[in-house]
Amino acid sequence: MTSPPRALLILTILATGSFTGQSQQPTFLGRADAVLVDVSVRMGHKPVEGLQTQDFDLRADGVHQSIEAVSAASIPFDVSLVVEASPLVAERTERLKAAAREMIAALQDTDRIRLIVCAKSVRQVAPMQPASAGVSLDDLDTIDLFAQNPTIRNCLVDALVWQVDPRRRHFVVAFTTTVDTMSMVSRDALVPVAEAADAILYIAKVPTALRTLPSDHPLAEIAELTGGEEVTFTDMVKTFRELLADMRQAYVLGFSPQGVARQGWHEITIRVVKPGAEKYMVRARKGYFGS
Amino acid sequence: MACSLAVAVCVLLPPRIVHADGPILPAALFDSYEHGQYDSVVNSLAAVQDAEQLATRLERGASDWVRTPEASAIPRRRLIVAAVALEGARVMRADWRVRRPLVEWACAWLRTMTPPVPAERWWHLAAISLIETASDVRFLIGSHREGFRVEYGDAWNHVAHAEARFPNEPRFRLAEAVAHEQAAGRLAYPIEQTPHSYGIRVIEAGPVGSVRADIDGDSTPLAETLRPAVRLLSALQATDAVAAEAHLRLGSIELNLDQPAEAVSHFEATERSTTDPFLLYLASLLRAASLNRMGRLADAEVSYRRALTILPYAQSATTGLAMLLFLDHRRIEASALVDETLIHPHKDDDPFFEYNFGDGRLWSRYIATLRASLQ
Repeated sequence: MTSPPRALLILTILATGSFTGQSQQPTFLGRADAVLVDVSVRMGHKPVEGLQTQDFDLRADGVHQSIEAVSAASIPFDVSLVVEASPLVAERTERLKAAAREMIAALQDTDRIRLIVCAKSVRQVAPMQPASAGVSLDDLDTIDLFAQNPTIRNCLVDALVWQVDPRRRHFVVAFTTTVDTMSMVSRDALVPVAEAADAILYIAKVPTALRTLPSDHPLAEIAELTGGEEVTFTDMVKTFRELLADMRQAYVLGFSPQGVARQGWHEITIRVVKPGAEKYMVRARKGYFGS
Repeated sequence: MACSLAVAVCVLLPPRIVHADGPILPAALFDSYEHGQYDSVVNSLAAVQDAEQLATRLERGASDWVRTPEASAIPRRRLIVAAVALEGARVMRADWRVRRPLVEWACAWLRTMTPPVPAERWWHLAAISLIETASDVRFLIGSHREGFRVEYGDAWNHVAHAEARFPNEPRFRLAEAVAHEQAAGRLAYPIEQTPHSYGIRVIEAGPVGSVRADIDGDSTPLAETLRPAVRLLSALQATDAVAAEAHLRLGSIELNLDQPAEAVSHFEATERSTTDPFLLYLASLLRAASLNRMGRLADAEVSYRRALTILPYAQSATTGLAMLLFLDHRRIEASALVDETLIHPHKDDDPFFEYNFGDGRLWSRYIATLRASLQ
């Protein structure tokens, strides 16, 4: 497997609002070709503050782009909540639901969430909807968990390929044992999807007594490829809250693409170029889709 | 303990199949089955908690019940006894290891009857279907490795028992091949440690000839573990009744061994030799995966779409096609495809999931034929 440069993968700007160009945003947002990229930069666990426009190098398909606007405005989130339905998680269903409810409660009115149940067939039991609408988790009770087999890798592909509104940020949070014996998608096949996905994947791992080989559930690496991570499902609520807090402070870079075709998928790379930036960890979306 | 079980059985079973003292009346079960009251018998069996106790009771009651009528009816009655045991082994809500002795006992019971009546063939097909669903490789073929049959004994070699009774049934030979596939595919998931029967396949991975721990804790290259299956399946290519499945499985093995070109030729042979949607879907799906691995993306897309024409909204083909489109930067198409499937999931199990369980998908057909033959 070829891992992309970690510095490009884990982009995270955590800024506070000392950005230049903040006042340009309303005009910029009105332009049809505007592309907004939320970026956070951290050094260790601390956000890097006070970055200026000129501190960034932004490229689309390798072509340098002029950053026209920056702000610290909050970007709303879309969350795909994926729940593995299998006998392996059946005994913890209530605890999973409690964790999911806490996560939903941490979202704001502008955020959206959908619920996908991952069983033999992948089902979206609640479509993407405002978090304030009160997505129900009761559908989990109607599924005979003991009649299912986990297909988490198939399910993650289905969640990760979701077309993201460029003005929103997509998180995929999967409650899963990571044991997968039925998916057509192998771990290796999941790698390029994770690398190209415009989403950050968090694996909320549910413990299982099932004896498995470490190589059978390597989803931690898959999550890291998206800028996310694997945590225990009991830690997921805390991690999710921290993630939301971080991302709500993320810088937003705006640019009008130059030197690249307007349509189609375009990869984005962003670097911080000020002295000492090699210590920063940067997180941003992987690209944008021009239309 | 025995008393409490008896009370539980008494509460759960319909009165006419339970003796006033509590335990099951096997004769009542057999009578009901003989008179076509299958739902009643199955519901009663599903409520039984102790499979071992049930097997003991069936065994004790069977001989008397079989001896009752005229001699010409005895073979049919013996088969009814075995059918009831098999139905119990399927529907009881207990671990497979607890249910397995019912099949073991019924098979031994049938094998004492010489020669077999024709309908017995359906019993063996149904039994193998059940065992394949449980992925109980050891019970099917003793072991997939030399030297283990002695340890497990002849009682655990169910395919051989069936073949001895019906030497010309190609599905028994196919079942032997499936067992070898299951043994190679299950790898680190011994049935004893899983709440359900799992199978593993690695379709999209790169070369998978790497050494991994297998079912018996041994480490064997996948190609070597699959060799008996390849040998059996290759011989079955010439048998019309199972040629399509033999090609399909050979293709799947070739794909797992990272020989996609060889796999494609087998899948095309499957498509030429069957009209079964289950097999046609799998042939198109796995052909697409093979072509994808060969870098023939346009052909792979056509094959994925063909699979979805056969079974709209089937998960594996949807996910495979969505991946292809997504990585080809056709993200809107990929997202729309998945969105539609998430809203309208295919109501039946994806054949890709069923593949691992051989004739497991055919249980309903086999048991219906067996029941009909007993009337």
